[in-house]
Amino acid sequence: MNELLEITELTKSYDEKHVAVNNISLKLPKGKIIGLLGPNGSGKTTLIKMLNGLLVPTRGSIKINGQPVGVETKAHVAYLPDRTYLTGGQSINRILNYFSDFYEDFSREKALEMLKSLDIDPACRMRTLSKGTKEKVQLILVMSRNADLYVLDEPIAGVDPAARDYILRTIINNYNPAATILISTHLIGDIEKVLDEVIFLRNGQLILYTSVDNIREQQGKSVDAYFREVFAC
Amino acid sequence: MLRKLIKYEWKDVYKVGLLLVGALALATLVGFLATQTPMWSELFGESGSQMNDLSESLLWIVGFFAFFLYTMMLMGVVYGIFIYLTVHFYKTMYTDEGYLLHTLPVTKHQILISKILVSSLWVYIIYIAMLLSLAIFALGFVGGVTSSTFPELLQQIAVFLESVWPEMLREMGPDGVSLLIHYAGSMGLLMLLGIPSGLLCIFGATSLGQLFPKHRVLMSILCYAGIMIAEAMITGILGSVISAAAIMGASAVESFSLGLHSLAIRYDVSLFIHLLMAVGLYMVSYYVTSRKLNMD
Repeated sequence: MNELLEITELTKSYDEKHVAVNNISLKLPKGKIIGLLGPNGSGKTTLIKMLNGLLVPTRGSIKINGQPVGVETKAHVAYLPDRTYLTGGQSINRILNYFSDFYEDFSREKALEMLKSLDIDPACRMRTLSKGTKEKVQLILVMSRNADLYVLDEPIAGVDPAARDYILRTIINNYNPAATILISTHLIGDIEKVLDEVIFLRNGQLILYTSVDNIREQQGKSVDAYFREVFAC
Repeated sequence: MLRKLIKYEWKDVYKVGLLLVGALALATLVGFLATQTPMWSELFGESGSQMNDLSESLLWIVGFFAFFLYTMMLMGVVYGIFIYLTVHFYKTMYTDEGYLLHTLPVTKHQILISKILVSSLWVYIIYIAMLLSLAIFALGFVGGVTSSTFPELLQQIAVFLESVWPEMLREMGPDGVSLLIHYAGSMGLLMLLGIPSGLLCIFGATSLGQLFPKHRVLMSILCYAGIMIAEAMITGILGSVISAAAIMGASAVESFSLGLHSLAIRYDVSLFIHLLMAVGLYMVSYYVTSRKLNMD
């Protein structure tokens, strides 16, 4: 069985008028880097939160490695949220201890190595770091895990181009090759070169799930150009 | 995993907890100094009230304000620990900080239990520190009024208890003693279980507030107020019914004794209802975090 993630008729509605994710069914394989693409409000973050158990679906089901979202799946899913969730008062060392204690697949050595390469002192407290550095620390924590599924929500939004390159390099060089990476972003041009497959979402609905090679061959365009065409206002 | 959660929860909370214990120590010092001013001996001592000169008047004022400050600090610490623990619960469970907690490979029961255990422990610590503070204040007060030294005071208390206690028990008779044990048991249980169950009610109300689409903090506060009112009403009605049933048809002498017994039963009823509410609200917290979690 090559399937890692199975989503069946997944719906999340906050009220009758606002349906954030609408009846999505999807099967994602292992060992791929997949772009979750769509304009603002298309349901990307909602879908990601449901994968991580931060939102409860209104209808439908999610299975990761055949298991419904819960303790078992959380042990094998590494999640990078679209915001800083680590409190300012704690030091990076303490956060490393936290991750080591709770995630069996976390490599402290790998994290320290990456921090060292960025000249980030693990004794620093989160509040003393710039926004970009905080994001890098969060990414390092996630990529230091040997997870089955990496879910990265807007990992390169809000950082300068040099930092984007670093983040992408970190993702590519550190993920478990047998795992799948699901990356949500608007900045398609920056990540297109690393993607194997793409998912297009609009108004909470799945409108396309295909390989990057397919888009290039069938449409004769880059993913970025095709995205602009599909989502043209 | 529960042990790890407890460890990190303790690490999260202990600094503020220690700060409050420190504030309590400072308050105790202020309170003790207040008891050493002439105000108390003149108000309650044998010499009666008299202010002779300006410096003594100033000491009166200082004594009064020190006492006022002591009571305010004491109340501040007791309310402070509850407010802090509630805010901490809300922030780590239902704001951005909750992203970390809710994506850990742990069960919701483990998360809730770790929070209840650590929070309860800190409230126990604060309560014990508060009782010590009150004891020091009381000793300072009695010492200030009677001019006895500290060891003398302790000795006097011991002598008093030794002489009065057996006589009191004799006077009370077997019925009275059993009533006293009943009271003491109920009060002890209420004090012991009241802390975790009270926290469960607060955390449950905080979780209930998350079911509303907007103004969740306000709704949590309103839910808590509603829960407290409902609990007071149920306890009051049930307690009155039990008391009335106990003394109905009894003679005046019997009804006094039965009334005391029914009062003890009312304690049991209120404890039972409080625990029932706490269990119910724990289930609410569990339900919200496992079935209705909506992290914005």
